[in-house]
Amino acid sequence: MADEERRLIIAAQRGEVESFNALVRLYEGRVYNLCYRMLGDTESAADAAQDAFLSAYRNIHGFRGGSFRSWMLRIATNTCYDVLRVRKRRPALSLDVASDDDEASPMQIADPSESPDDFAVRRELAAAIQRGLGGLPEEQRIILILSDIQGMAYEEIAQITNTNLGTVKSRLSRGRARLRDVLRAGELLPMRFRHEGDDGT
Amino acid sequence: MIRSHTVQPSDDDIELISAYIDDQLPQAQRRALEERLRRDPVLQAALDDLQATVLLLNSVEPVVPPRSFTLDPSAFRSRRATLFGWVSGGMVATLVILVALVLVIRGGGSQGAVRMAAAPEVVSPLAEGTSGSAAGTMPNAAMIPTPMVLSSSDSAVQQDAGGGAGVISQPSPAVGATYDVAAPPLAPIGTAGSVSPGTAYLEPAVPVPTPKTTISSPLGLPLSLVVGVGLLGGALLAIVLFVRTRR
Repeated sequence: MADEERRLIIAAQRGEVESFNALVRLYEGRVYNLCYRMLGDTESAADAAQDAFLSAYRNIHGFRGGSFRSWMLRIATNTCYDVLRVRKRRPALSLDVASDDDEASPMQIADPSESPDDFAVRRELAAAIQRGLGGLPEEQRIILILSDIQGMAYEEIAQITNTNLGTVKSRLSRGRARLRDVLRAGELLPMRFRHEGDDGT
Repeated sequence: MIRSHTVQPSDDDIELISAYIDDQLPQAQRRALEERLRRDPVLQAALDDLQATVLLLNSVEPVVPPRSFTLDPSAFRSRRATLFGWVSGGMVATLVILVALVLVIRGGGSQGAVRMAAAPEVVSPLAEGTSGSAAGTMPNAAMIPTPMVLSSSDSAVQQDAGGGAGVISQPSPAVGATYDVAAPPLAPIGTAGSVSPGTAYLEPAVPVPTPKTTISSPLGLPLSLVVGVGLLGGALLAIVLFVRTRR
């Protein structure tokens, strides 16, 4: 797998678009999910993912080995930061609005064995978590996404976010604590995930 | 399940707990924290809450991309072909312009040389009258009242018996030859006796034409050739790359 990936990278560096497309197929799911969790709506996430792959193709000559996945996710992270920066300058679309819009909800695979109620709860939970993530500072959000949703190690997260291990640890703990508080205080979670005492009684 | 607690551990403890969940604590630190967790229910509750949050995040399912993000090869090929087309076309045009410029400049230089070769002979009217040497026409633009210092070995000196001033009949320069013309201070008329032997100071009764000289750099032709060959090579390289990208 690693050899195949290396071969594809070398071919892409020679300008072979098809080889680069093979790399895109390997990582598009992960890149899109990162963008979706960071930006909160499907359209912006798709545009950001496309921009990230385009940027990666244009700059693949600058890839000097190491983990292609980290390199690719770093580009995607920077692309998301750019989008968020533009949103701050022109705050026409908020994360909450995007998350409340049914058309902006991501496609989710329904489990055939799952009841409609369970599917609805699962969908509600995913939306609640997404809203909670949207309430976090960007630098905490990205680390939470990479660590707890994408399951990456601290070292790789530090590489992707261009920080050190200590920063990753502290941002992760603060992000988790903050998300815990957001989910609890805003009653974002579906009822079955809330504690009896959380409704203020 | 996430519970609410009024008492919260410090930020340092939260960071410890977070690292503990990810199994990132060194052995000693881990044992110390586990000991504290056994004794401190607030810390234990914070651990449970944070663990529940992490589990919630772990349970988030991946979303399906709405479309593929693969790049269109034809779009990139045509862009590159256009780029190389512009580059090669530009280099060929530059080459043509450069060659034309070199031809024009070198053509102008040849004409100057021809003009110099056809420069009129300088003949003093006096010498013309006395020695009867070959007469020539004298262009007005070249009439400069400058005394000449000529070597007696190179020039025919004819001195007037009555006057102190000498008259020089300057030999006609060979075709294409150049010669030096110096301009020392004018010597007073009638003091030719003080002139050192072999040198004659004259008051130029007749203006002496200064021959035109052409300045041609020895680097001109090689430099032009190098630039031309370089551009030609670049144009050929661009054309080869252009053809390769079209395949």
